[in-house]
Amino acid sequence: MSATPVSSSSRISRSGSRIASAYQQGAVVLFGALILYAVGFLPMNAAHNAAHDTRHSLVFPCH
Amino acid sequence: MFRALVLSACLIGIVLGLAMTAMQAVGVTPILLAAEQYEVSHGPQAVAGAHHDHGHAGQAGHHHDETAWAPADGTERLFYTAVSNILAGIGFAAILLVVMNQLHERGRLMMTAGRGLMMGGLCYLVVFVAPSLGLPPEIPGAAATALESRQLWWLATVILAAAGLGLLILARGWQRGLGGLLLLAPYAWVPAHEGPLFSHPDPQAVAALTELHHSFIWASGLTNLAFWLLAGLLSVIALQRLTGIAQGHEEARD
Repeated sequence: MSATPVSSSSRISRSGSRIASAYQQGAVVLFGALILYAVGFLPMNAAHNAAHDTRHSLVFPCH
Repeated sequence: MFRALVLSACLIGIVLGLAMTAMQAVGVTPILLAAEQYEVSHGPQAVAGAHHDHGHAGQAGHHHDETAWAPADGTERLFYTAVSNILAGIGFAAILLVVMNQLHERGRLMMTAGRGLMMGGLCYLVVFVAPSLGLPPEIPGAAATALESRQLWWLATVILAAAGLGLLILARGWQRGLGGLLLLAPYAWVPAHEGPLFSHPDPQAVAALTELHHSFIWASGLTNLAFWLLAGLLSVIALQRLTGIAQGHEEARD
């Protein structure tokens, strides 16, 4: 009753933008996970040596 | 939203990475370097044949492929560590920002400094404490099981701890029990190393390494706590700006 009437088209566009926002936030999580994989898990020797002290400090399994 | 979140994560990551590098330089790196002393000189054999090439592929435990590129000790190593710290900060911040934003959108998290510190503390429990209970922080030279199994266990533990803690705090009734189960599940099987932690032939070196290991647990524990508290606080500040809470306050004040 106290709710303001919302036209169906704006409701649709709002739910559309919510889905788009969910995709975008999923992409942000993926972005973060990829970076963390590179820093903490990449088995390449050069990557391990460059990030060695970081891996130890953040207690990623190392060696 | 994507751009704004990634940009915030980058800014937070830079601050976190630099703070981490400073704390590491004081508390953590000296311990790692000291432990590496024992690692490079591989006991009496190396002392006896000082000119011998270190071709010890069969050495048990830790060994570095010495043909691979590695940053030189000193400035270069510090630089690469700082870059890796910043990247790790960006990665963690990106995920934390989305989690906090989702909780905020669902009305489960207020964007206050106190709540930010609380989220940081929870992240500390999930990302540092939970895996460390099974696989304590390690210094170079410590013996351990195959890397891949430990990495998988680490990942599973962090994900289960996040899910478990989230359920314990947010859910009601039987789902809370499920959260507790998820928290405990990883410890049913831990890829821990059997036998002595340090296989160094010199007992004095083993004693020194054990002591270094204990101080490393403290140093990394405190460093990570500071890292996560700062991460939570900075994420709140970033999300306040993104969702316009801070601007609303400023306008109201004007």
